[in-house]
Amino acid sequence: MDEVLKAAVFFWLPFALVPFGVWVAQIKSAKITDKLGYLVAVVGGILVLASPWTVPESPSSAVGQLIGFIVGPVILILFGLFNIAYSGNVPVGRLSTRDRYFGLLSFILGIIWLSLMHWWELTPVVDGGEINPYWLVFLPNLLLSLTCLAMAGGLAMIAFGDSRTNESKYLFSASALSFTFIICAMNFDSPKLEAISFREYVWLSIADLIGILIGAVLAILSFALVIFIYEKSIPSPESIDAPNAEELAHVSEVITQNIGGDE
Amino acid sequence: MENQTKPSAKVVLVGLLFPVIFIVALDYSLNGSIPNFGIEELNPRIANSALTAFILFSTFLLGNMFFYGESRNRPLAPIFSMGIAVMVGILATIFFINQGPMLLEGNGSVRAQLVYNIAHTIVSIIALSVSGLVTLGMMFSAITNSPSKIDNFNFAAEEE
Repeated sequence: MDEVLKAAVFFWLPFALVPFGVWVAQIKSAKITDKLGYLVAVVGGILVLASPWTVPESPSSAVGQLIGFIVGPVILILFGLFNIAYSGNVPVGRLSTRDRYFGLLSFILGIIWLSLMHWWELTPVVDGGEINPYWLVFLPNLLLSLTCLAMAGGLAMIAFGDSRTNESKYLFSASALSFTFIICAMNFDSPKLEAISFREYVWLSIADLIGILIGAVLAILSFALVIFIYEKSIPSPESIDAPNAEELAHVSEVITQNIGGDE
Repeated sequence: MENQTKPSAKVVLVGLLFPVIFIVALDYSLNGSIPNFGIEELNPRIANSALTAFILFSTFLLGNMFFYGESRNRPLAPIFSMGIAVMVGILATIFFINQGPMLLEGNGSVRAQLVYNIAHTIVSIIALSVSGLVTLGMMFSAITNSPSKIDNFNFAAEEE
């Protein structure tokens, strides 16, 4: 099979199936689409993860390899945060204190695992011993966006919350830690990547985030414009007559049946 | 009552941008410029990223337009309009990449650059989503694990 066709069939088609499956699962008009959609998304996800074996010669399969490498620490981190959040003051489904400590352990393990992927020999490498090029996109983007979002999140807690100064310190600490990671990686070599190369990727990552912001804003503007133009083209609904006595009596009956409670 | 001045929404926006500016300033002050690396490398990345993000976000919004159409007794007009927006994005990308090496970031052909752009932007969006989820998770964890703000005594008194 032609290499391009092989990459399309074994990588890009399964990749497209993931959002397509999720989209199909959201259609409410038919019940069967719900399960079918999620099934399609899961099958697509598995095929993407298998792409380093199914299409090893395609450069795009490095994305599948990257997802395979990061899925472990990311699940640990998110699972940890879920456990910590739901073992606190929640009205229903509260988890035990043991779950909180387990969550904290998962979160810390996930962070350490992700850090060692830069500072130790766990860095994802493709055939030939080179670092996975998409890892060099992922890590700076993750660290930069975490620094910014955690900082903004902490400030938002103080700005919009009620006496949330103490809670916001956790987010400021996360922002500071992520910032320190970036500055250290920009100044100290890791076993597989020189600091000067990491500096380049951080600068490119800033360019990336600016580009994504511009593209997303333009897409949202065109979306809003389409809806605005379409809504403007719809004729305004015709006025109807005021309810008559019979209709008012029916409404009163329905309201009477639905207010109040058991005595 | 606690009488403290709260930061405004503008400060939150500045907080979103401040770390990036600080990292750039600190790196430039500590290490100076990067050899053989400058605006010629950064500009194509911004342009490619903006074009690809426009296509991907428009495609996502096109999917949402279907649900909007469903709520409006399935009128196809907005779906077609959004489809045109996606097509404009794709054609603009092909046009700009075809203008020579301006937007080709070390890739040999338009197709290779297009595929690289999509993969690159998807990875960036995954990174953004993970950091967003971690931030949200930390925020909720901090809130739920702090002492409750509801005064139980007053609450009980109000109920009576």
